[in-house]
Amino acid sequence: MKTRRIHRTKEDIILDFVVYTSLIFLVIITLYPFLNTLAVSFNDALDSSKGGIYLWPRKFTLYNYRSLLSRQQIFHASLISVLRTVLSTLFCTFSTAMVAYTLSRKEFVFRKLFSFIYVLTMYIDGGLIPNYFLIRNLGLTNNFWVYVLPGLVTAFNLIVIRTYINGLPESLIESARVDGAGEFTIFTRIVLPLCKPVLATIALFVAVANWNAWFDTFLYNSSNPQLSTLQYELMKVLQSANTMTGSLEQALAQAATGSMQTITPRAIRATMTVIVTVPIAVVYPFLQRYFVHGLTLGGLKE
Amino acid sequence: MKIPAMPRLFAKKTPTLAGKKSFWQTLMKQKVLLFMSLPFVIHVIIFKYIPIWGWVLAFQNYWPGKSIFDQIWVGFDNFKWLFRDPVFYQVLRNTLAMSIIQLAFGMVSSIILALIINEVRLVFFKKTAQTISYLPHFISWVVAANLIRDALSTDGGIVNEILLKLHIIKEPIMFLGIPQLFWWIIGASHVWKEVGWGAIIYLAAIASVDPNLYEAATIDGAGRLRRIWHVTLPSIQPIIVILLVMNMGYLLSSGFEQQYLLQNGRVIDYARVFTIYELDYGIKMMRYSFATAVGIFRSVVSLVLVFGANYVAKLLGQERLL
Amino acid sequence: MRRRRLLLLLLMVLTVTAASVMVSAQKTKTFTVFLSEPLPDYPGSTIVGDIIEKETGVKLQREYLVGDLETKVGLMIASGELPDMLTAAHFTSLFKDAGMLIPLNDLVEKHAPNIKRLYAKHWEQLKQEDGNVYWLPIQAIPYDTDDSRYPELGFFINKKVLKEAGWPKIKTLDEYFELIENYMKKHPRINGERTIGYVTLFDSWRSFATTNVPQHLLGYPNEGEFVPVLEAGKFVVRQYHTSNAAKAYYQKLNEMYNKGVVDKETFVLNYDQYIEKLSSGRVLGTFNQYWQVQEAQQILLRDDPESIFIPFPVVLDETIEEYQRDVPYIQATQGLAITTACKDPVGAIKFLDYLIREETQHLVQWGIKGQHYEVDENGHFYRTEEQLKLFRDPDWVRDVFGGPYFYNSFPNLRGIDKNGNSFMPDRQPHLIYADSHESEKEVMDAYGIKAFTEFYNKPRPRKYYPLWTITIPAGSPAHIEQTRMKDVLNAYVPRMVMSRTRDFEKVWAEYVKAISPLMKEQIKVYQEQIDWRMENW
Repeated sequence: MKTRRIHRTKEDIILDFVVYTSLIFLVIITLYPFLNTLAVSFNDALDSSKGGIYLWPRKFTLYNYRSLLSRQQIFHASLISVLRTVLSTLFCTFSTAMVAYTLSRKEFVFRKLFSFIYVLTMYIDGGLIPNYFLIRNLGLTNNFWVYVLPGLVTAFNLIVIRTYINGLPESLIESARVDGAGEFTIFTRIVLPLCKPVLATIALFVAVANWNAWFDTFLYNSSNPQLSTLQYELMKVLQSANTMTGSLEQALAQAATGSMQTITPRAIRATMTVIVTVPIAVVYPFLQRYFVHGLTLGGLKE
Repeated sequence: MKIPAMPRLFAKKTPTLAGKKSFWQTLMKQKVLLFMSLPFVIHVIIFKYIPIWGWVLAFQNYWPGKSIFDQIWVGFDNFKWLFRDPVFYQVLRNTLAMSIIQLAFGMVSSIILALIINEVRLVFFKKTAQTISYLPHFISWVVAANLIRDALSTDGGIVNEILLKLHIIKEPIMFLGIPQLFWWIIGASHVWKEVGWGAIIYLAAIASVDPNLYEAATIDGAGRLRRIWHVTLPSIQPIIVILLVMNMGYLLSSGFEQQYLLQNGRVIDYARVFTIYELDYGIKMMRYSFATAVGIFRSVVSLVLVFGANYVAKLLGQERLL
Repeated sequence: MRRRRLLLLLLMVLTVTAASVMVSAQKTKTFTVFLSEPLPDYPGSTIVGDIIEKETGVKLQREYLVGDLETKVGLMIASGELPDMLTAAHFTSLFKDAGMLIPLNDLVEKHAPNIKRLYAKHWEQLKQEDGNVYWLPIQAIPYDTDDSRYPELGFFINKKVLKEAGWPKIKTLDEYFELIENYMKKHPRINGERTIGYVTLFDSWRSFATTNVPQHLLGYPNEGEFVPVLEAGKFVVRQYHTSNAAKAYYQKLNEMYNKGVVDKETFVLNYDQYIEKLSSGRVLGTFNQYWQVQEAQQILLRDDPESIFIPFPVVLDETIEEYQRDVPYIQATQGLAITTACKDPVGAIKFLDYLIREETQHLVQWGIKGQHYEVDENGHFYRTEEQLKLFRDPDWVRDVFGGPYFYNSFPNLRGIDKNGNSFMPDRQPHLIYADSHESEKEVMDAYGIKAFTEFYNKPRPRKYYPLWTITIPAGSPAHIEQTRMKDVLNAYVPRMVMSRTRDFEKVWAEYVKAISPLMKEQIKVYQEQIDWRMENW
């Protein structure tokens, strides 16, 4: 995209200076942790324990990745993770937007009641054991759908989308209604396209939350390896890192000859971070274009 | 004016509906809206409200393995224990202090970042900077805490090195060992890690601003700063207010890993937050009843805060939750 | 359409997933087992595992712990959804209290001659108040105990310090710090960086590395937070946190802190940073249990063998006799249990009986004779250089060999067998010295010893040992008191050490006042249990 050449005032120049310097500073301090993690993930695990790894590995190795990705379950678990993420994102985003639309209709008689019901859920929680009993009684333990169903519409996302819809010009909806469009048609044809930026945001939130989740696997599906997720498998490797070297004496015997390759919690965490973040970074630009774009592109185009 | 904590649950009859139609007639007319929302409301009632029976645990001395009816009832003992525990008040103070610092600085910095990103004209730089700024969100606190500890170390940590080089200090400062500093380290590291992620929601709101408004402002002779002030900010104001109100309810729930991983014996009196307290004195001891009591206390306080904030927003004529 | 293809793909994945669940039909006997010790999932087929499966016809469906044990145990007990067998660390007894474990006495009597024989020495310790045995501890020591290269704990000192001082034997705390201080004066920098005299670990639950020390300075082995003291023929539980030894220890640390010997930021370090410092070779001393400094020692042996840490049994003064080594013990309060959900308890106990017998133990720990180990003319097991090479690769050992999947978390044998072989290859007596690193050998030779454990006295028998395996009932007043006491230690120890020398007395007095009322309930519980153990074990 070309930027428009406007006459640059003094204000423009100062503002640009502030904008670019602060952003460059921010990029440096926010890129560093990731580069550091990347370096540690490619560095010999024991060597990393000595510290002093900054932007580049000191003793390069692929062992950390091999060690994590060679687990037999990893591929299948990744599929489950992708599946749950895709399904949750589609279902959650669509249904949350739909409910949000109804709750944005000023004339809807249940607007306040339903809003109240949802808002309350953000601040109350029955606790671990009652939740477990509920999920079990619904037959959702050892069941794939436990990843998707319980969080279908969450209050936080709902309110965010509702706020966004409230900000849309009422006239668009009114004129559609005058044309005889039903509520559902208005929602799918008028409101959804207008909501792209906020839907992209919510989709991102839902997708990331699902992609990173492992606690529901732990609670509800831990006895069925077929339903294990990537994060859960990685957690397994992480937790077992301390016992990986076998016995203390064994580790020492290895050290004595200097031929040992072992993996430490620190190396696993770094490698895990990279493994789970890279797919997000790959998918991200497709969502990003909906909420970050050039000045001339407005949300109301189309 | 109505009582603040009890918002009216039914909408007033709207002017668009002509005449004196009964409630049912209105409802029939809105049946599509009802079909679109009711199934999900039932869903949320099942998944979020049914487990609330678990709150009875707070009035028992619950022990897993026995049915809920065979438990020992203890009345308000768990709550009394909580309110009599001197640690509780320390925990309350710390949680509130750190939450408020995080909320205030977190929101302000994310909003400013969103505005700054919006001002960048080079699309490539804009997208890259935005992408990079949200990356720390994906670094777990375990990893992040180690980086922060290294940076603040007195033994060659970068912050001390820079301050020494600039002759601002003569001796390295043990930042993590100063109790009064701990809250601010938590606040600063929170901003660092979440500023980019937090900005996304404001960017989405900015994306919806009608470009014609900018055009109009420009024609009126407004500079960029004034356009930010008069066009961009007002258009994202509703989402700011709503997020503020919603987050008021999380003031007692925030934190855990961050505090847990950055604390040490030296600053423990300023570092212990509710979630850590609940874990140490509740779950780790299998005191489910006590943990539930703490949970109920937090819920009640949260609701008071949220509806209070909502009421204030209403008084100020702002976007509100209900 | 692209979209339709995506949908099709999703459906396919779902179908495949569902199908693969159904295919796992079973011909052999399958037991489900939950194991509280984390390990990556069983690879499905290993050298050791396949032999075991063939010989027993038993297949295990394992679930290793991910996440926190408290939550897992709470859910299992509350929901009553149990595997056939389980281990649950210090929560094992909760399952017994909930009536979810089956007594093993009769089963063992009738169907498990090996368990009966090999656990005979420990059997009385395993009996609960009702006279039943509900779990088999993970370790049994049926015959003699073996030894290792390093002791369980010690005041570690950098090899460089010892070498320069002419290999002195360190006995007291004063001697220890004097050596460090002198070396520091002569060498303020090591490898161009500031020398660190002493580091103490104080990171969350690992802080016992700092607070447990007074009991060891008084000559006791690791008992935990309290020490049973022999008084008039009876073990009386005493606290040591406000003892003279504690005061002398914290005062010494305070003095050293103000002199700059103790690292300034030692109390704000986490474990990773601690290991980082130790492995840099510029730390001269630290107290700890060996397993907590082992990672650093590994790194030093590889990269800087002249800076390895050598342990000494340091005590407060000359009058105290040192018995810091563990009395050989098994963890009687936890182990592998068979639950009420198990439909075939006889099959389960037979499987465990098969696992624990000597032949199987040699298989899972040593491997197959002629393939993974050899036997010399004296009947001693050893591994050739080639075999050793295999076993130095932890991935191979775990995923191809598979032994750890049958001795981690499952009952296994420790110590020396009837032929003088250690059940654990790494503790084979005649190999401890021989397999040491050259740098370790240099130290051992200088002191005329064959293992660092020889610096230490042989432990004195303590029938109840150790106190720390006593589980304080979850959520009891003693449990709350324990948490509070740890909170006080956490808050006061750094203050005591980091205060100005003239303020020490004041802070010490405050500390004593704060901690003293927080021990009564715990002592009561421990005393009861110690008495019970002395009577019944």
